[in-house]
Amino acid sequence: MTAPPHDAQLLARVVDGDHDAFNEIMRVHEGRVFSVCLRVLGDREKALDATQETFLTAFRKAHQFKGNAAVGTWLYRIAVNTCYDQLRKQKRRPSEPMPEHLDPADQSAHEAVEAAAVRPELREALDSLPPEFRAAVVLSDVEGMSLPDTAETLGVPVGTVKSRVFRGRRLLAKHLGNQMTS
Amino acid sequence: MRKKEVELIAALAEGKLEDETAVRALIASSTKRQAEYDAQKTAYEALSSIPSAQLTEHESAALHRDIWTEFQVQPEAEATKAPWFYRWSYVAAGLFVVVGLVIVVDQTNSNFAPTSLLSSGDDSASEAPVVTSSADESEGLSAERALTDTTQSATEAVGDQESDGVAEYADPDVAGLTELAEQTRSGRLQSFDLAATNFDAAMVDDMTQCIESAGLADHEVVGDVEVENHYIVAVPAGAELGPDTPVSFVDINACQVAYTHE
Repeated sequence: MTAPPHDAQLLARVVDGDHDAFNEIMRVHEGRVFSVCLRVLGDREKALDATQETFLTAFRKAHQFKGNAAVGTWLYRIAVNTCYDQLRKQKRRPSEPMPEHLDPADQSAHEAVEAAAVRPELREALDSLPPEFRAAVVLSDVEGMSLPDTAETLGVPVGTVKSRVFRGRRLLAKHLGNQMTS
Repeated sequence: MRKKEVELIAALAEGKLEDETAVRALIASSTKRQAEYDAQKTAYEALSSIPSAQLTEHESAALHRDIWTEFQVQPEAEATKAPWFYRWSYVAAGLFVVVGLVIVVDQTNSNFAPTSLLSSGDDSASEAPVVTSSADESEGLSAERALTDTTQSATEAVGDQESDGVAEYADPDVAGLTELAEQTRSGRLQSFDLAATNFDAAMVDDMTQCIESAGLADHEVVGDVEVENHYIVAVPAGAELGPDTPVSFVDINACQVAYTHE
């Protein structure tokens, strides 16, 4: 992922206390951060919480950003780790998925939910994947990231990402196949 | 099937090969390769059909509002409860703890040998005093736990907050892993991902590669656990599980031995 110098400059301004710069970073990246969280967590409300937590963490840790990766990569890595945390908490305290909570006055919300909808059997198959495999296929196949970018985001070698993507797909296909035969 | 073959088959499924002839011939040569291609293609097509999700204007506005509300609440709360001289008292307390820690470490080093934290194991050649009796061993472990606790307190006291989200590889939770090592030895270990996938052969294969990278080529995977971090549990290949079996925990992301219980 080539780092737009703009992002790094904005983050440097955030460290100096420029709140507008952080708003700008959020505007650029909030869509993709949310999309990744929604596909990993499978629930809009939880994805919104994770997106908020991601940016709160990024703001607190802005001074630790070393510039070794693009700001986007750094943010998506925080997002994936935040999602892992949520999944772990969910595993300890399982709860029913919440119904989509939408503002009745916000017509665009209904359209957005419909536009983002995933076939139930595919959603179920994706949910059945172990979190590390799920994150790998979401970044690579859903978000269309290259394997090196996915590896950088997940903080693992490219070989490990390949292995997770290929095995994740295999498990997903098996799950989809089982659903079709049952 | 070799790694390279799977990569080629996946590339064909993604439509990324310029010349498909050779890979198509490879796939036609065995039913296993054909099944691999079908799985990769089915999953890739299903996944790439998932639309990228968008925040609505309302959600985006709420996100910005909630974040800035959170930021405004926190600094004000800290400012009202912490006059400048309080901050210096935190620094003094931190220094006090660090000095205390140095003394404890000095005494600890001169009293007993450390257990095998962050190593794959053979400390027999070490010149440190050898602890042999089980009573001494448990005393050593308790002291090490106390040391770990002291270190954690000192770290917290000086305000290092590495844990939320960004820092990926925390120090292993020795007490938790020790308990899981005992469960492994007695065959009571409950796996995390491997249990969910019913010990999927491909995942075991993946984990085996990881423990090999960690220098445990002569070990086998017996499970995986989640304690702060995700670890593969490995024991010497072919070893019968028992009270003396060394149990290693390999960080699944870094593919490094995080702790060995001997």
